[in-house]
Amino acid sequence: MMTKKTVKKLTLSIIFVLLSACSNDQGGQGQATQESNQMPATAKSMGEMSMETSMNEMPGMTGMPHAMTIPETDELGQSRSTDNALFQVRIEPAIDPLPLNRMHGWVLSLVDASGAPVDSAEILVEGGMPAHNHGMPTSPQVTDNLGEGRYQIEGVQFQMPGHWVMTFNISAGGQLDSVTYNLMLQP
Amino acid sequence: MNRAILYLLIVILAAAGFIFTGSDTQEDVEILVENRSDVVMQVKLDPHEWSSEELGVLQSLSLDSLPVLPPDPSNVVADNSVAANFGYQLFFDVRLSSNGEVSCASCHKPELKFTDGLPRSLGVGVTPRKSMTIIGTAHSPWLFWDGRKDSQWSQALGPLENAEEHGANRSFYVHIIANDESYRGQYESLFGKIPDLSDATRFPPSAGPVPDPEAKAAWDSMAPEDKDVINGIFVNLGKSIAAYERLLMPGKSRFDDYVESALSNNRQQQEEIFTESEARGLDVFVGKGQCINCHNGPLLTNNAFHNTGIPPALDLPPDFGRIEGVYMVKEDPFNCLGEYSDVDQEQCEDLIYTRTEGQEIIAAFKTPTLRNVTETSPYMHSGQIPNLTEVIRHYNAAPLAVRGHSELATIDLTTEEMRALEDFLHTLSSPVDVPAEYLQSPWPEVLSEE
Repeated sequence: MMTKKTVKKLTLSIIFVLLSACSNDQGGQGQATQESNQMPATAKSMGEMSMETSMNEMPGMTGMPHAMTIPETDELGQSRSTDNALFQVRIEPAIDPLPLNRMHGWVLSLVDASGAPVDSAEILVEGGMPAHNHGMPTSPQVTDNLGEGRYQIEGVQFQMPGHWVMTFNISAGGQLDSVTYNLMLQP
Repeated sequence: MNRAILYLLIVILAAAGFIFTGSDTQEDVEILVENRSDVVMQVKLDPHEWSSEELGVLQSLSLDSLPVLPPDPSNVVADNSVAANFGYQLFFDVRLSSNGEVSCASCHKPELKFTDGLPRSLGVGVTPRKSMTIIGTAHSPWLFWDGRKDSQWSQALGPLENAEEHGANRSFYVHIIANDESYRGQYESLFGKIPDLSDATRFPPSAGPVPDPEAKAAWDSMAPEDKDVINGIFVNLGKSIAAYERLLMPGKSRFDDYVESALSNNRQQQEEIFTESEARGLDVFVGKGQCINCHNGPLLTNNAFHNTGIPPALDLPPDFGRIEGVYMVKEDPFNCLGEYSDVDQEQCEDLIYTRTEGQEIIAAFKTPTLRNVTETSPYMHSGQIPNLTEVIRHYNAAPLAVRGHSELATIDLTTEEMRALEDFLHTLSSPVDVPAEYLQSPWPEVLSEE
């Protein structure tokens, strides 16, 4: 015959065991997010890919293609703020909708937080497909400063349909910031 | 007391049941299914029924979507029919080799859709790679599995000086042209007079920047302006061969006919052209199989470089594919930016912007076209996979790459889907769209070789 005390202890220990087993499940989820934090590190070792900011921003990233949610596609041609609101960026691809396999150029328009055009910025373009864990097939470059804060970028090419990420890293007047676009290429 | 314990245990077990089988894992499954729904297609009840989105994809793969062949600004005679005829003769001429037995057609046989049916091609020696088709390659910015050449004319010069392929050197070939009455006449009508090459100290009969030490030494002993003469004539031979190769385009296949009937909603015709299995295979190709990631466009290739985890041939030195090829094309004196190219710098975009570093181009190889794929076995860069059944199994299994990182992910095809996919691939064959004479050797001796 058990005493009330024993019953209490037994109940509490069973509940404790169940709860800790339950939190291990949560740990499993945590492990998945850990993988996504590790991905940028491997991504960085892949030459030009440095998608750390964008990776962490994307909801539901688990680093595993089959369980990935694709974020909403960004509209091009609209002005967007960079991540730390230091600049406003507008992108105009030469071809719309974005073509598959064709090399083409983009014009990037850059203004600062007060709306003034930024004339002498350095722009680094990076990108890739998160689902396929690879970068771009080309290295796009700024080929021309068109003046009034507009820059000609050449050498953009998408060789696969699907979800692409493009990041523009901007350095101007001692300030650094970047902006990322999510794009969907149709086959 | 016992009843209290009993009730307590029931509550605890119920709670445990809820925790372990409850909302969390359910949510996981839902997210998994939701995001795989575009990958795990519902089995189509009607294989000949295509949504408007799918029809758009089918149209993009059809030959009707192939753009008009763009000019090759780096080759001044690219679209010259006289040059094409000259190049056609060169293509089949076995005299253009060290042993007098190898021509371009030795490894690019018209009857095998310009491949040779071998895992590794045989020239004067054994090469480490499988011969690629020439059909449609006028549309590709890169030639060879590693893309180490950026034009058809530059590519044609590679095998001519390769020790295992044709095994000779540029001076050797230039002297053949200069001493052959017919060739000399054709050459001079296109490119102007060939200077007097009879002085063997200035123009040695065998000289070129090749592995053969004698030929290399002879080349090094030549004056720069004399080297330039030889280079110029050598380049023009390549440009003429390229003018011929530009004519080699794929004809309409059964797949193209099917797309046409699907686009015009001609259901009866669809069923006449494709079996159910072939239609299902097409469905896998554009959907679950994810083949169109790389095999996209009317030539079913994006002409880009991908690591697909193909096991390296163990008896060969390591093959690093694009990461070596891109270095070679950038350094190649016969590339788009070189002095023998007829182009302005602005037109060399592919060469200027191509990626030169990064893990993903290690052991990455050029996506070949899938047109005529059933007739161009074996498969992969050193012919590692003998048949299409095993190719499909490879993509399904998506094994880890030995070198670099494979882009593949497992696609979970059923046996039936794999069979259907293979059936579909058989519909991509077609005759070469070129006058029949251009598919046969103009030289009687070659015909009796086989």
